[in-house]
Amino acid sequence: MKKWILAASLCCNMAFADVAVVVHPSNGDSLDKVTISRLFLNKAKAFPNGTRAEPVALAEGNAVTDEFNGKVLNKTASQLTAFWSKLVFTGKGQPPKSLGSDAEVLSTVAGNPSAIGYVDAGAVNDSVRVVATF
Amino acid sequence: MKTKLAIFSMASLLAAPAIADVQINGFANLIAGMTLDDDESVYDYNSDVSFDPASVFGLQVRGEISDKLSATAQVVGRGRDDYDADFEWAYMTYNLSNTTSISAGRIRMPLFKYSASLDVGYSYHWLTPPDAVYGIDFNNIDGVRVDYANYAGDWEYGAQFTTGRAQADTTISGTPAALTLDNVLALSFEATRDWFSARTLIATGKTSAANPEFDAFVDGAGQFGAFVPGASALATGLRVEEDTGTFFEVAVGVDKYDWFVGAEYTQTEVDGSVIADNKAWYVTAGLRFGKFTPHITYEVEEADNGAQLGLVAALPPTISSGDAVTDATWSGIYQAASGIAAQQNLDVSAVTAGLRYDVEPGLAVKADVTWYSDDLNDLNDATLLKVGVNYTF
Repeated sequence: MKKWILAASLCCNMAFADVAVVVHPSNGDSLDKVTISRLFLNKAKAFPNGTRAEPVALAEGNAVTDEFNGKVLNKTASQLTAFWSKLVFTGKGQPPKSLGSDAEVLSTVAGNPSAIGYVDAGAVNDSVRVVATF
Repeated sequence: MKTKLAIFSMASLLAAPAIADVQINGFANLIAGMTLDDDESVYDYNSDVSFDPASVFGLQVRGEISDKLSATAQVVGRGRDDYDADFEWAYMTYNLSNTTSISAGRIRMPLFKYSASLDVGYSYHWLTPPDAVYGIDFNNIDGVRVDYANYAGDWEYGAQFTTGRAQADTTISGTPAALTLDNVLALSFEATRDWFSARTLIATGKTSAANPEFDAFVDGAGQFGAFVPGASALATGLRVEEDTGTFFEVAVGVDKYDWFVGAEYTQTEVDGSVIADNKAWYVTAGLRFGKFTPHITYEVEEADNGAQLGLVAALPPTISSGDAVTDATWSGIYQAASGIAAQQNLDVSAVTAGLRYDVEPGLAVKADVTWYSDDLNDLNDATLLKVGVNYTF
């Protein structure tokens, strides 16, 4: 029975691959899609509460990254590379640090009140606060 | 000396352990081009395949000294300069707040929509931006730039103020000259809302361009000022010395992802100089089918030499001073002035059709065909084929 549940959850994670946007539990701000997108695209540098934001991403090529880039940032990987090349080569900003796994994102966000990241919705634990799911 | 200083600052950037974060980014545009007919040449290309005119390699090092302070240096090698590495940017940026930063050093002048990423071919759909608008002698300036960026509702907007001094190589009536722009002041605004974007810039600067040959000619004309009406006006009206230059730019774009259109217009005037009033614009459109982006662009550049022709029209073609040598000298000057004034006229257009293929994020392969047309002289018409690779990391 347990096996069936596991299989079902695997299947559903694959099918929906929902992305959870997570912040430090001490961060009480509510963030909508536009705000999250601005934080990840260097357009807004601070949370609505005024704290400077430090976004972290997952590595390129990760299915969750593609999901987040498409659903929240409305950009393909190529578009996002072009977007960052414009900022990087003008000194206006650098893309968020990208981390290798959901676990790394969760521990980074759990350990930094300024951090905001995204992970597979199935990977979320209570060391972080989910601000939105897409 | 400048290079030494720059290398020193770069080396210290790399070496200093105090810098928490050093980012290295780079770009490469390897572009081959040729005209399709033996006797055609355009934008420094001719019928032999050449990589030189538009190929660019660049490396950027940025060190974050603190949350607020960073230092950036960019070394660029251009095919047309034999890939001699040059520090095109070297500046420090201080974040005054979450919305405002100030940069000082050698910086990019935000003259155009694509100025910021002009050398990063990957960031736009063409192999090179339309020459009519982007074919300008200088893009960098030694000075200070203040950047402001904010958002309100669905709008994101920004403003930039740039001041400083720019030096570049140019040509005056076909011969090389050293261009200097002093007391440059530039103000630009931009706004973006979802798929719509617009920006504009207005700039002024004291423009000087030194060329021994041209200056000697102007001095010669000036010496007739005392006894030939219009000769003084000709000398001051052609000489490029601390003349007020103004530059205006406006661009709009719509990007609905599946398709995009854009247009940009520029206007350049250098009062009381041989440089004719210049107007240039382009419209561009493209479609995105997965990894393929076919696109088309129409560009126009016109220069109006009315002011220069007016100066010549006020002159007598010949004089009778009683001295045959003086009379002949004046005839020579008159003819040279007529020739120079006539040369400043420009009326060219071009259509470019191209295809971009995104191989993977950071790597694109492109091919562009440009049909260039000189409406004043059909002999300059040319068809140019370019293929190239844009890479960025």
